[in-house]
Amino acid sequence: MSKRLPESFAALASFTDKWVVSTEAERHLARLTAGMDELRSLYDAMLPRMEAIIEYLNGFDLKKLSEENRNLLILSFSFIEVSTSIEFFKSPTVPDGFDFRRFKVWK
Amino acid sequence: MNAPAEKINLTYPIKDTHSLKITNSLPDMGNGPISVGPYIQSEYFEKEKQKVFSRAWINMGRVSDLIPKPGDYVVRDLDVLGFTLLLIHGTDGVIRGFHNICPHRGNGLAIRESGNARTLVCTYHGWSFNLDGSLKHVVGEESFPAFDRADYGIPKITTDVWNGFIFVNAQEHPEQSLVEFLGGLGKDLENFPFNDFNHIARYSAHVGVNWKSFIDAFHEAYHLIMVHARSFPHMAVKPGVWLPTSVRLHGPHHSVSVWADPDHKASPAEALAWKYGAAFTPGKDVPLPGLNPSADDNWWFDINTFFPNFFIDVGSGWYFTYNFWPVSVDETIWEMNIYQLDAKNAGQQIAQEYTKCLLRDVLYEDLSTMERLHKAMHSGALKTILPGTFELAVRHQHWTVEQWVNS
Ligand code: FES
Ligand SMILES: [Fe+2]
Repeated sequence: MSKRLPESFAALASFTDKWVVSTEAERHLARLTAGMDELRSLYDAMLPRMEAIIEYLNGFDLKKLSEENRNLLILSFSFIEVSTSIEFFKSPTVPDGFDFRRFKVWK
Repeated sequence: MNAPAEKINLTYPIKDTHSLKITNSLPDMGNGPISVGPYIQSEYFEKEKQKVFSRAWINMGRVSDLIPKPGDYVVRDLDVLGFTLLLIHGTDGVIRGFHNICPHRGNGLAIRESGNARTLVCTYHGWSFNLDGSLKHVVGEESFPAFDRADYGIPKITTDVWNGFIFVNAQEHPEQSLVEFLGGLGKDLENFPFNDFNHIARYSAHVGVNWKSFIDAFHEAYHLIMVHARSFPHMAVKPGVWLPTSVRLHGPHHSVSVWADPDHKASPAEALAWKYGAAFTPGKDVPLPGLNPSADDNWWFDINTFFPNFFIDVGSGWYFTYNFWPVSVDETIWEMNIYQLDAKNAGQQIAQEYTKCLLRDVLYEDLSTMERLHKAMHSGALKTILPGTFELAVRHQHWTVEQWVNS
């Protein structure tokens, strides 16, 4: 079941199942274990909409976001999460980097 | 130790950007190769435990992260100091440190890693203690004929707080107070608004490398050229970034300012972060007291190394800390905590997410070299290492450890 998004961003619904997860550790693991195609499709869908998403969310009190708006914010965090894979690393993991299974993300 | 300031004016190959400013006097640390012995010898490590870690003030983290409320306590095994620390936030607001030991017959007093209590009760025979460490109640007190209550508080560990950071000292009467020990570096950061920041991330890893090599990966920018060639694609190859804009030596501590490439090209995600908030990478400056103490042009951020094993790196709208915990001569636990100013809206929070994710991915790069070089040091084939002027802080850290170990 996809999680709800504000109406004007309903086109992103197919990404919410996997990418609307509330902790950094979950988003990070989702990215590290995804394929590049999957990361690319999230990135490509989000990038052209990011300014509109931010302008929209900036109209609300961050501490009292509705569930849909909160989901959209978390989806934006997932866009940020995958952006380094697309923009820098061309890989879900950091190439030649330290083993992610030995790197603890606490939050 | 107070040799006159050495003039270092390195204009080549950085002639188009800057020369290195060194604002304090520079001790004679030599400029030749450094033996790998101190990085691999167990005997040297034993000396470090006694002469460095048991004498210096050691950072434990922030009050707000560890024990924010009265009654909060936390327990930490400090292998390098040979004891288990119990930190308590008193009902009087005072932060106190103790050995996690019941003075009756030695049971561990707090058996959970953290908690909140008004009284600590030993789980062996039920002696109880106030949060200031004093003995509260002894079950069957009349059965202890020769007994002075005052002798049976929880054994203390010297503890003090600077700017919200908790430090402990293994000495009962430290040679220097915490403020004296932090010296000029503490002074430079005195007014940095640490309390206005929120904790946003924590990372850790247990790595097969000596603690000094681990630290050395974090106070020079020379390694950007290779280690961070992917994450800082345009900047990494610019000689300007390898050479600090300024270095300040403050006794055993030092502070290194990193050059910001004025032609830095932001990636699409990074450009969003800068448009709506602040990012780790150079962009616009967010002025805060304590940043850029030498007023450098093209300033990126300051690497502040507190001897022996603690960093507070500060930049425009963020700071982060590293703690390096030696486990043995061959193993170190590393911890990183990232802090950001309060996000006022979603755009700022998304920008903060960018800083966090980028820093974390950069750390995967930094950690990747550690075990290889430690192996090399053990191989017998690598007898020395050679830090150059770009790596002045590496030499200073090594030299300071030597001074302390041989004192
Ligand atoms: S050891 Fe703690 S009460 Fe006996
Ligand atoms: Fe690095």
